[in-house]
Amino acid sequence: MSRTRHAALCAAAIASTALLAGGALAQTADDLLNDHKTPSDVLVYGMGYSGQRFSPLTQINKENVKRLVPVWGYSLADNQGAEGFPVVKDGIVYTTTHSATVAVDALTGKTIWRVAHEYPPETLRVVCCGIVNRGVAIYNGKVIRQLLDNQIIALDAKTGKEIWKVHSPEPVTIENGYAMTGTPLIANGVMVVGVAGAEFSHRGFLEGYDPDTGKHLWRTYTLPLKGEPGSETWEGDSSLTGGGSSWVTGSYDPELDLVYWGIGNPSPWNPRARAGDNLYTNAVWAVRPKTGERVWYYQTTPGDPFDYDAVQTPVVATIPVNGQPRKVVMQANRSGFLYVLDAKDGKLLAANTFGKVNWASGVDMKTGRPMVTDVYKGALEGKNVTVWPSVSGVTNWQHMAFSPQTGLLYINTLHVGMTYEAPEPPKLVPGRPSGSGTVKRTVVTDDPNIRGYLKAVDPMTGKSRWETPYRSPNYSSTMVTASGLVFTGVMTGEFQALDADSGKVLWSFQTPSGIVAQPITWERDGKQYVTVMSGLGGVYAQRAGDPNLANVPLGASLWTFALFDK
Amino acid sequence: MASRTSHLILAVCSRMPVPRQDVLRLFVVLLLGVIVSAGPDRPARAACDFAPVKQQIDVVLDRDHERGAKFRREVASGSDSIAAMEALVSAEMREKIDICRYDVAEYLTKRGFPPFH
Repeated sequence: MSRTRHAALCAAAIASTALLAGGALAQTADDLLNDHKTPSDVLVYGMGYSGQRFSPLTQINKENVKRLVPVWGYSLADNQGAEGFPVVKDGIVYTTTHSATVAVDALTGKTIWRVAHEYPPETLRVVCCGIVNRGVAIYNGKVIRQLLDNQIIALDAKTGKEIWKVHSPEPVTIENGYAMTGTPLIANGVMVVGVAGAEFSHRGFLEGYDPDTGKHLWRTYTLPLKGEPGSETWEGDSSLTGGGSSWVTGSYDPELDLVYWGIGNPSPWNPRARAGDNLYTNAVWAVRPKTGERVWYYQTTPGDPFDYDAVQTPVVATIPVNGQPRKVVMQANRSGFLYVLDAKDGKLLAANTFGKVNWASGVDMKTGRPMVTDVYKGALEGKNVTVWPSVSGVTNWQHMAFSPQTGLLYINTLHVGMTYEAPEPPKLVPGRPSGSGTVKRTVVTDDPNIRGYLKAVDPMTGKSRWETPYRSPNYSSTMVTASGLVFTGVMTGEFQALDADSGKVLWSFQTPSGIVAQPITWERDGKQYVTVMSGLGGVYAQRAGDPNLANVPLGASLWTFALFDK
Repeated sequence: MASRTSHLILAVCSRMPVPRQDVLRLFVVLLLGVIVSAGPDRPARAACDFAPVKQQIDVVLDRDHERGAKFRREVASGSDSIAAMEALVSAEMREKIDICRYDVAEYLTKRGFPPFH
């Protein structure tokens, strides 16, 4: 057969497949609700609204995982960080880079469509933490994503054709410090999106859109204006440039109809320009998706000097609390404390360290406030102090997984401290840098060859069942299966499966670049697959100066693995 | 320049005698102003022109021993490398560095001074 005829036949076959699949491409609200029960699809960021990243699939298990091999690899033709969460629907994988959205045949790795996105070059001035995007939402036949320059675009899932495109309303501009790197969350028919920019003196918010039309429905700012509740926690008019980003996607509980979303650090990093608790930054929020009403909040690090964003996706689960099952949200915070909150009212149920911490000795369970040490107090006074953890936190944005079977959280942690000093703070205006340039810090390590651990952690105590050390911290998210496997990626490129009971590495595959992405698993025609992106980049790889990463090649690619049949 | 232009506008509006070349200059200035302000998608900030910025960074790091030593001292003591560089250059170059912030970060990282986060 000639190459031309072969190519034509392949194209026709792919087109027919896409057309046949078309009728099944619509994703209703019910599909999203049941995502965690339908392992043939992965529709919601976090593998289900709870954000547990737990799969009931068991075909790949501890005994046979050694036979896991790549089925296909797909070049994303990009040299920036690949942090995306791939979505799978009807045999198609949808994923993103900062500048493209792709639909790929899930079984063959062939392109179905690819759409390039352009943004003004000056956009990059306000991208503090890597030129990235973390993936798409899928709803009613549309693939929806955010763009770096604060636009949101809906593409036809079958063809990639643009259906609608909107810009987040004023004052959201690059010039005012705003950028978008996250993934929308569609809850109760409303698309909730967050924004980045606390390193550029913006005023953060969450907002809701109609996912069918792109119509803007609501915006809830994370910082109060003068006279509003909470404004008494800001010095002068500092809340106008006070940060409070919402750059990492949240989770959702359909029974309570609450979206849980982590809110980021106050701006500037230097705390001497904004004395007070700085509500409602560094807090876990519970929000009504229809209106944006904030139902409750819990602030983790009041008056934060150390960039301890509370942006980790809160994980929803029912766990035993004082011997009784209770629906909770859990957040492994950048501050080093693991918080367990009642999902309905935000009541603090547990707060324990899960890494090395010296800025607070604990959390007062009556007031919910951290019991800060001289380290924290000295930082506010402008003294040079040695702090654990560093500005990168004990976790950063990378997501943890929760297994209802073991009751454990699987968390990629950092083990890095810092010296810290806040000199006289600068005068800030919207859009001007307000992050690392406003303080001084140097890296402190216990052992330069162990900068992170993957830990299996008891949520109520913070204690580890096991800890597996890594030379550099893993900025990949984790994923856990009912067969007792934890999947994660390593920044030097290894994609690994570990024993969920012991932390032993059972399988490892070297991908072409470092992994800072989010593994998923799914099944098709009775066969289980695991998919992950490779492609070093993002905040740690580009900003930490970790010598272990100096020679890791760049280049984003998408990989799918399955058990070798013969 | 702005002051001279406003005087010229006042003179023309008051029907005072004005040299012909000055009227022509006023016309050109006003026309340019209209064109610039009417641009619907005019970015508030220019795009990054990295070549002169890179040149300036190289001067500080490789040729100007005094500023180079100060830069290294500041970074070693914990200052962010972009902030430390901005403090050592002119206001005009500081603005250029800010516009090129991302490229500057990448270049300083290559030179062994990654800005931290």
